[in-house]
Amino acid sequence: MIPHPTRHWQEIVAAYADGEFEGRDDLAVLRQRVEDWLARHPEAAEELAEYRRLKQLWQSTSPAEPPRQRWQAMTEAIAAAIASRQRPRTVRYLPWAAAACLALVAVLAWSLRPEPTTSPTPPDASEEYEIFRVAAAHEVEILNVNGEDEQALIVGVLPLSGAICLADHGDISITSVQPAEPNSAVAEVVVEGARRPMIWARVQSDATP
Amino acid sequence: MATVSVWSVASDEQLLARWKRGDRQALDELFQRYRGVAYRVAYRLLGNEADALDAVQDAFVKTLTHLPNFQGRSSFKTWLLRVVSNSALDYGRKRGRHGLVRMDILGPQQREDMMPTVADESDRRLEQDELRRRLAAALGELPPAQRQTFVLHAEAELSYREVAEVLGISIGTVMSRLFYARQKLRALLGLGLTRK
Repeated sequence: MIPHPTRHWQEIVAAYADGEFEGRDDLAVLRQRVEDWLARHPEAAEELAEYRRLKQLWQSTSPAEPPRQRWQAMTEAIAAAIASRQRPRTVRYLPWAAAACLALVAVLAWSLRPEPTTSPTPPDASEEYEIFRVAAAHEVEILNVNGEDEQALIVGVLPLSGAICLADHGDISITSVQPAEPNSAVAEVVVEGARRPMIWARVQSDATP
Repeated sequence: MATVSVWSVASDEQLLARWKRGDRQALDELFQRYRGVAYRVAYRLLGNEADALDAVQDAFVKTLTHLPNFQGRSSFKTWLLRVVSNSALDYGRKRGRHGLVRMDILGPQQREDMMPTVADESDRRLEQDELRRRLAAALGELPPAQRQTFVLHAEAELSYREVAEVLGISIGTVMSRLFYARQKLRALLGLGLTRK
């Protein structure tokens, strides 16, 4: 150990031995102080020699470098590792994103799945269903007309089948009227022209000729 | 007439700029420029070739991957050596230092036997190997912070200021760590007088 009461001074002398003051004009004064001190303390020279010996020992045991092929392989490995790390995040995480999307789709499909469908069953005969059906003209046959409170008269011979047309005034002639009540007269009509089923809508003038 | 070949040596900054642009050759040049010192630092801190190579590779990958974070306030060399030495210490912590002789378990005679001696030239290589092993063992006895500081200064030949920059410490701390590291190494290696 360099003989000096303060450790800080010992560290400064070590820095001088390490060449830290060389080329440092800003440390010229300190360098001169160290050199003066060393001149007055020749015993410190032994310590500096020890520093140099340790340095030489260190340098003489410097590890030999690996062979060139080893370096070449390492360069390739470094380049590959960097390329892998620098791949855009969208690409790096693509497999994870795809898996996440698939999972999301699966969850959505499960939650939005249609309710189990029940096959339509025919109406129970015991229940009352009103079935509205549309019949074609040829499917309907008029067998009877109760005319007392009817506001229209079917013209033709019953049963009537086929399409029924609205009778016009020129289609029929009223031959008689048999009133049961003043407001519910039933007229007997004669169809002239084509014999086809018609409806004669009773009008006030017709009812009271 | 003599032919003079002039080599244009690119600076680290130029090589880094080229590497950023995807120039693979820039990586080769940077690697060739600093692989040696990086390896020696890692080797000194770990004591064996295999772990040292792993640490070097890891450090280069980390350094060049995080290149956008490199502000250029320090040199590439000091930045790389910071990563190398930290990486080596991490490897050392995880794996332990292999192949080292613990100085504290050696007796006085064994330590004396390991002292460098004047030998014939034919024995010099063996002596160097033994000396290297002994030095590595002594280095392993230092606290990690002292070891890292000493190796960066002695092996990478960084100045006090550069070591301070690499480790993010003051120059005074560097001086203190080096002082204690030297004292301990000298004691472990049996060099000189350890006057109190």
